[in-house]
Amino acid sequence: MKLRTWGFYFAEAWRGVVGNGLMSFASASTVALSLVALAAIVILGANLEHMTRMLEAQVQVVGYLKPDFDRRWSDLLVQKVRAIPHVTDVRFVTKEEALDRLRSELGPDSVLLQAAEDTSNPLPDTIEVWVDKPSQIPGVVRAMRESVTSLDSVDYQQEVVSRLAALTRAVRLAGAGFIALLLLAALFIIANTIRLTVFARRREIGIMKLVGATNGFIRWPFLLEGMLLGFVGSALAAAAAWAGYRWLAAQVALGLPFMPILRPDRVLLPLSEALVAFGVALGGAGSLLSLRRFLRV
Amino acid sequence: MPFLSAIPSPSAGRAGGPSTITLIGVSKTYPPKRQALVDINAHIDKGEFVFLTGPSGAGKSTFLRLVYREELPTRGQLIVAGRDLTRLRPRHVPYLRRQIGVVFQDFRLLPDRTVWENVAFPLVVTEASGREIQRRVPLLLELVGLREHARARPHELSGGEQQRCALARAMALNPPILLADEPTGNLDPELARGITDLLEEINRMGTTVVMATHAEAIVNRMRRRVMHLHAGRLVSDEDPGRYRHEA
Repeated sequence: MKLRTWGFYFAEAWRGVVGNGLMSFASASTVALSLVALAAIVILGANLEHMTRMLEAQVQVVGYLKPDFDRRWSDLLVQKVRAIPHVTDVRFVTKEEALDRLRSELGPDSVLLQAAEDTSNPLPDTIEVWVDKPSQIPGVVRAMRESVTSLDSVDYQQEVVSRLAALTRAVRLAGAGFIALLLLAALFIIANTIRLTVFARRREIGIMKLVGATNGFIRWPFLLEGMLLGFVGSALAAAAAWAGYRWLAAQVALGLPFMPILRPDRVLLPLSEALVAFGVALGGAGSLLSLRRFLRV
Repeated sequence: MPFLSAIPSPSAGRAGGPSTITLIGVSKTYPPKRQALVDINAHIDKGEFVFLTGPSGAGKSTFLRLVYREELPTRGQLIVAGRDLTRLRPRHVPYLRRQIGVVFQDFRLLPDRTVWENVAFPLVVTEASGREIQRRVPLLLELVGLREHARARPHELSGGEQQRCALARAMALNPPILLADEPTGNLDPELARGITDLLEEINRMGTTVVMATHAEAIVNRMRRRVMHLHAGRLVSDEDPGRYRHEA
């Protein structure tokens, strides 16, 4: 298609945006709001999934050994546990190692550590076990209890993992429903805005038809107008998501340093691209919706 | 962008030429049952100048609207510029329209655009090249005598000038057929004279012109073919004819 034709399309689309400033503003804002909500839910979902994965990758079962456990048997113990089906790795952790770890996690000034060092080390020796699938954990725990007599107690995070997975699903599902409604609202307000433009320019459209413009030609400026509104709205949404998540991530890093959250730049770039593409598509779809009826010859 | 100039065809047959209009048993009924046109049979040949006369509501506008396919006949066959309009697919309608210029009593110019832009409009929307537009628009403005007003907006023009502008727009694609629906209805007699002179000139250049009017003076002065409609029926068709007051 010719360059001057595109010039004409853009000039017409711009006329539409400016000609109905208030409605254009309203529809771009609605798109922005819906997409911000979409972004929030996507970010939340991605983080929950990330946390689930992190937890799964961590030690899945910790066996606390009785205080009288003789360390000479530790290799044998490891071999025995490794032989249990679905166990992928086993590590023996001495109470001294455990204290070191705690020290590095809590920092040197912790009152708790002071107390632990003043007395003798209160931590037990432990055995850490990795399992190939979270669903296999109960079986592994049972097998450990049967075969390791010096086992005092067992702790495992399957509960947390499966709850987190359930939460992720729930957030996604509820989010999807909520977002669908918002997007529908955005779609209709765009369609309505375009309908106003079409109405404002019915004269012009009538003359275009009279002098032999094809429907495709008549449609383009309106399509572009819708896409422009979608673009502006989604760019605003992307900017808001960008600022919002960076701020939130900084707060989390300060307040909850153990919380495994996704790094902002890794989430935001693909998210922004998707938001803008989606916003533009939404705008185009909104215009087509309002033009469908109008353009029958 | 091909300019469909009115190439003289050796035999503009009874039907099918690029600048002919043929109606065979055409009727148009609006719901519930207002009969706007009843069983019209007529043929308008290439290069003719035809007046369509009759009182208000006789069916003149409906006749024209059928020709440029704003509407479809309820019955009958209608062949315009070589196309059977009752079978013309909607997506081919734009190409029919490029063969037909239309002007109206109320001009229908775009108020927020200059004279130049209004005249260039059909060229732009049919994707003519920039060079073609630059070449063609001055010729059209020259034809209608609006060269000095190229940058004016329609509201800055007199009624006669606005109609000239509309005529230039109608001729922008050099259509073989020009339809005029009461083009002088809003104009003083002397301005009307200017418009009819222009229509005659356009006709002399080979364009078939059909003008709906009830301006008796114009019809009687010009001594052209007159098709007289009354209550949707074609009650007389004389060449040359005079204005009739009664059916």
